[in-house]
Amino acid sequence: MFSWSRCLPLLILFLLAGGCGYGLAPVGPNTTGLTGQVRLVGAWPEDTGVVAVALFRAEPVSNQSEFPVVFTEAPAFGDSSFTYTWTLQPGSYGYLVVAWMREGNYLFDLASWIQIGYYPDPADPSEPGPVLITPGILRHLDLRADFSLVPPPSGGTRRGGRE
Amino acid sequence: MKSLLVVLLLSMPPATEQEVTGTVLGTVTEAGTGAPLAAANIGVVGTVIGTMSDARGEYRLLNVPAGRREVSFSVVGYAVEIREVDVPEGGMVRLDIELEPTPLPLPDVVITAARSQQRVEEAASSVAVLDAATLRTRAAPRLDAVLSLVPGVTMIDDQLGIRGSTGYNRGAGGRVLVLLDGVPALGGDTGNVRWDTLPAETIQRVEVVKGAASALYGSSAMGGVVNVITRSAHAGPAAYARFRLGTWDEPHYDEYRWRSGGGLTRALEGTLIRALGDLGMMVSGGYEYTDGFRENGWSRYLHGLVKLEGPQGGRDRWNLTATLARQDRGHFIEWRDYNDPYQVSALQRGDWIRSDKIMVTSSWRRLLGRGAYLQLQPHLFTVRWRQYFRDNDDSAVITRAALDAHAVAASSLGTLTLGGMGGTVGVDGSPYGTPTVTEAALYLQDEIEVGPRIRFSAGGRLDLHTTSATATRSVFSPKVALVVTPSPAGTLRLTAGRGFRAPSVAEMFISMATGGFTVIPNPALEPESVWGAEIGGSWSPLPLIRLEASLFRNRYTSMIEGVATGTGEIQFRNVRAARLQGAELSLMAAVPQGWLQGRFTYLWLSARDIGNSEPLAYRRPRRGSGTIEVRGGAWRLATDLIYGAPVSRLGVYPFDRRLPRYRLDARVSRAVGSLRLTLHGHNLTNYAVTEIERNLTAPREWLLSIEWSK
Repeated sequence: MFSWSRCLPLLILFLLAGGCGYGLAPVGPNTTGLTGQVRLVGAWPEDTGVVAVALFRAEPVSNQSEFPVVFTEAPAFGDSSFTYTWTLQPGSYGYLVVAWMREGNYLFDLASWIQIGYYPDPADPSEPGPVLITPGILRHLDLRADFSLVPPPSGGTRRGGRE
Repeated sequence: MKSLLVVLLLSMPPATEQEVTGTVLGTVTEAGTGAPLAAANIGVVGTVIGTMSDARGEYRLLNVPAGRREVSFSVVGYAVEIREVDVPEGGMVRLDIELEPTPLPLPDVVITAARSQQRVEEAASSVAVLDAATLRTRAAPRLDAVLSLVPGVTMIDDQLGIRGSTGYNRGAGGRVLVLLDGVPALGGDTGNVRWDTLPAETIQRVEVVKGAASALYGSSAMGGVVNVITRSAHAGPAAYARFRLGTWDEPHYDEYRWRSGGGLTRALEGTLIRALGDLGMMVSGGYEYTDGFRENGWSRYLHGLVKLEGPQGGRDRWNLTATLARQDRGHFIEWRDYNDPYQVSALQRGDWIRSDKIMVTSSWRRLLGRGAYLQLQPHLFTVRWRQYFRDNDDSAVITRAALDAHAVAASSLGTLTLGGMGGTVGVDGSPYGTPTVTEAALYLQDEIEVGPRIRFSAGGRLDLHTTSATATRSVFSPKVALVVTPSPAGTLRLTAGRGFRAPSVAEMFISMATGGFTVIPNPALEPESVWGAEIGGSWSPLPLIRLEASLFRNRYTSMIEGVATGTGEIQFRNVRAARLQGAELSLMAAVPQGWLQGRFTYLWLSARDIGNSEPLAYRRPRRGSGTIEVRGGAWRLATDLIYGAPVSRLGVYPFDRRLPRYRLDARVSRAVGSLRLTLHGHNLTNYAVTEIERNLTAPREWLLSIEWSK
């Protein structure tokens, strides 16, 4: 015969598991990280392969010197903006860039990246600025990217990340 | 190899033609109820003569040497019986046995640790057994869904690890060898397991041998060996069918919700076992469609299996098994964003893969004497796959053909095993070109009883591995073990040996670009290897309590991993030496009336790079699991709780959050006539975690399973 008192051991496991929370939570205001919106200006080039926002520890000094720490791609061709949200380790990151890649190129082939936007250095806006990430704060940085910076197909690609 | 076999055969006991033999037959039933017990192992002690009972519990042992003999009877869940019997010359003797049920479903006889049948306490390696009931009660469509319940075993995505051997290494081969009835079931290109060729409803039991086992099994047996043993085609007449219907709850966090409705899983599987004269036949098939719990998570899975077995009990035994599987499934590499973890980027949306597999295995065994047999196992495994990606349409056909031949000579003193194998892998695929691989090996193992309670075994295997682009590489893998049984309640085991893995075709020859990654070939790859040692044992202080413990230490060298080259591509290279050490504990207990059973496991693991002392990626330093089952009348309630400490390091995105893993599953089932209805709840606490970066585990899932058996 079945007796509910026999289920006590099962309840112990349930209680143990019930106290474990819900695991990985969404990125919120108290998360250490970075979020923002990328506004895309101009007409999308027909030969667009990828548009992505990416964060590097430091600005790549050669074609393939470093992979991005994180990146997010634009959701769909033709969008005028997209958001990104990353959890990060606290510290300083040297290069926050919006990159465009021609169709047929690959995301981690940095030689094919065209910089169409970046987070500027407040002291010298012509240079990329460091992004400081503080513990317990979700920093908000919006970026502007301009498709008019994409060279025509015959013009070749700019190499080495930032021109 | 041929000459060595001749030497072995000459050294064996005389052939049975010169012996006087008789027959032992009877039935195996459950004490108390008289219910017939199918698939009971019946063997003549000190010989290789054995058989299994059929669905009526009947068995027949032929060619048993005349005179007084000991016959052993064992089934998982029942106490082992050994009976003496006088076998008449040229005659028959009847021996009916009633086996007492035991609440602890302990393993009895295993075949994988030594490539021949032996009691689990005598095995020279740590062996765990998953029985058919464990698979069936969890309604697992494939084996990978339940393997992580075995102490020390981890499943990350579709990669299998034992005691931290594999971690996760996308595209690279696993460090555990998976066998189907003793034959490798690894894909010929990546060297990974093709889980869809191992449908759960055809499985009788699964033996997991832990620790390096290349001395008997060759490449890939670094962390251990998983041998999937299919049901006997003589265990009929029997029929089994199962329908499954499942759906997922919404994720706990609103931000993660991405579709209306939970998506559905529906599946129908069936197995039929019938006699065709003296032959046994098993036919099995199934279809499953799931929407999946995430974008691109859909899968359509169709499979079939036919197994024929020759007459039982004679001098020759054979079987032939053909498995077919087709799987179409969406492709999910990583999430789109932290707050959209169940969606892929626009670039991957709609990407999918088709794969077809055909596996044909056969086994022919000839009894050479009361203590010896010769076994041949040819097999053929073809995989065809094609990627339907936005940026990639690669495809390949990979065929592996091999023949394993081994002879076993057993006596009351011990067991000698000598064998060899030869095989070839042919590849034709856009990412690989048309390389070929040839393999050959010789192996020898001797197990002897050096004292009344002490068994010693030693052996080794020489493997030769050649590809169309490289010279022959040879690897010798030795192993020694000492097993001491100080009392019937306990066993102590010391083992040391080597394992290795030859680089896979994919690791050596792949040239592929997809998803932002470009992978380039490396024909100069060398085999990776491990030297390992273990001290372990089991102890039953009371009849319904069993403790198992092991301490292990493994040193891996030339580990193959995908690394970024200086020019931005990914290439597989021999990059790392690492030390993996730890302890494993397992406790099984039950109450005498059998209404409560429990199993608890714990693994402590330290896995560090020897060069820079960094922890290896994707290994959880502590893992534990608990299973409790309660029975009452026709009802059964059970829970599985799995815990894992946060991984020490991530491989691709080292700054991503690392969290502990918890998973609580529960099921309640009731028998109604020949039906059993089971409601399963998976991940009941709706806990979300990443096993590998940017792949969130499934939310809570509800599954209804209706089984019918006859």
